[in-house]
Amino acid sequence: MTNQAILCEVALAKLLPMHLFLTDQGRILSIGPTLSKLLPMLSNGLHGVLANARAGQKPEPLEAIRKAVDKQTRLFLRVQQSADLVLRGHGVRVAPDRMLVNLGFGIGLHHAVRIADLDDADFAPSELAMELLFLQEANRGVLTELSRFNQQLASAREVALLEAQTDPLTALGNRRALETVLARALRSDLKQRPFALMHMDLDHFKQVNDRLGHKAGDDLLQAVGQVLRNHIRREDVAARIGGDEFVMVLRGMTCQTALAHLADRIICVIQDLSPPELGDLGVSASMGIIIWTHVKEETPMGLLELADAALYQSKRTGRGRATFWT
Amino acid sequence: MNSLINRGIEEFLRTTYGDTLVQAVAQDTHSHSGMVAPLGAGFGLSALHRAAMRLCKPFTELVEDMGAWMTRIEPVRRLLRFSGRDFKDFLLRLEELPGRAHLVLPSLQLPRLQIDAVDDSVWVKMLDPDDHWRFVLVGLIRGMADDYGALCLISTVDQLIRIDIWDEKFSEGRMFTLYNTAG
Repeated sequence: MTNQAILCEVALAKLLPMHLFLTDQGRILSIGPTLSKLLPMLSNGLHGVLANARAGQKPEPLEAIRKAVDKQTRLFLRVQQSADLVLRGHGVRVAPDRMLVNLGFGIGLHHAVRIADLDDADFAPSELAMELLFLQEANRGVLTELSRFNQQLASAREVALLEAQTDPLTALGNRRALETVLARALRSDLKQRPFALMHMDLDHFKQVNDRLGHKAGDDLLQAVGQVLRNHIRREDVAARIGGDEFVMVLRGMTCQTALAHLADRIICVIQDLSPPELGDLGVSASMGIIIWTHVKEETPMGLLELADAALYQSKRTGRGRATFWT
Repeated sequence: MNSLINRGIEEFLRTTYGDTLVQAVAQDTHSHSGMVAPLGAGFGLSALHRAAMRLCKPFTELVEDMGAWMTRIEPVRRLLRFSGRDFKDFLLRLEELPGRAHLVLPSLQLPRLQIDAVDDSVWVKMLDPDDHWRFVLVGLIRGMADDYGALCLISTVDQLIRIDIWDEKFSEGRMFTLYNTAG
């Protein structure tokens, strides 16, 4: 046997900076420089510094080392002063009562680096420690960037959704918003509350555009939008669904008297908005109101048609009034 | 992936030249295409070209500045410091850079590099010619020389970058520990 490799202590320390060389009785013969940096007390002995980390086995470290060496199994040793750091390794018997153990950090690497202030020179070049640390930080960086980008996307989507359902002129909802609200309000499986739908159309609005210009028309529509906003509650919805056509969905409103009163008030305020230049043919509003108590299945479009029929009735009987669908 | 590079370009212009320039460049880009740019797409290379024009600065110089700027971003600087225990080691191991980048961002295609060294001179050769990356790399090397505290001369011709190290320990350099003190 001439090809035996015999290492002096200096070479051993260089090659295996995490080694532990000890007798079967637990006397420490040599400790690698990195292990020694991590566990300065180890030179006094294993006791109180390391413990067997394998569940279901005795904590006695020397016994764990002997067992791992003789049975050629993996060794797991918990650092007593820092319970979440477990070193792992394996060992060989180099003389009848002498064991050489080589340890490593595994997943607790980051923790060990922090505790012992380790640097590049503390790791053997063959170890992947630096790469693992690199990856850990690189991943964190990329994930942070990604989640930042995701958040940005989510808020951009929210803005886009809101814009897609908003009438840019009056800032009320648009037809799409109304259809969404109605579809939900009409769903029988959700046990939705009854509601009232007011369909409103301005009277003589065309006059404003024709005689005073489109700017005056737009100003008036904006003012009407503000009037509607002022007369509904937070849970209600107002939308402009066409040129001078507006719809309000009033949740829980089933009292015909209260609704008629509300309609009169809105019509009255809109009449006050009428530009004086128009004279007798001033702007007003006609309404068709429907109180929906889920008596039967209905679609948003169907409901709007019913309200439109009532609205037409208002127009036919002299404008500037509200008619209930019955 | 592009969104990350685009964000890098935008952040570089913002921190170096301020909001006004970024807005001007964004407006140039919008008026050019005639519509609102999709999220994160407003700041590609074309934005960098426009910024160079507005700043009356050679484009390659701006790209180089961006490379140096990257080394002043702490997370990026740390990742670069992981790949070399000193400046010379960092240069000699630049060959690993595309591999390291690929490990983190598989979609980021960095050109392959080949390193040659004689005494205190190091040559970085681009195996896949790419002028953008070449000047980013020049800036990056310049920034890392500062970080390690090394004094060197950097020049580039064709697809070669030459670094002559005069003094590896010219100054203190910036602190670096393997564990991240920032958390």
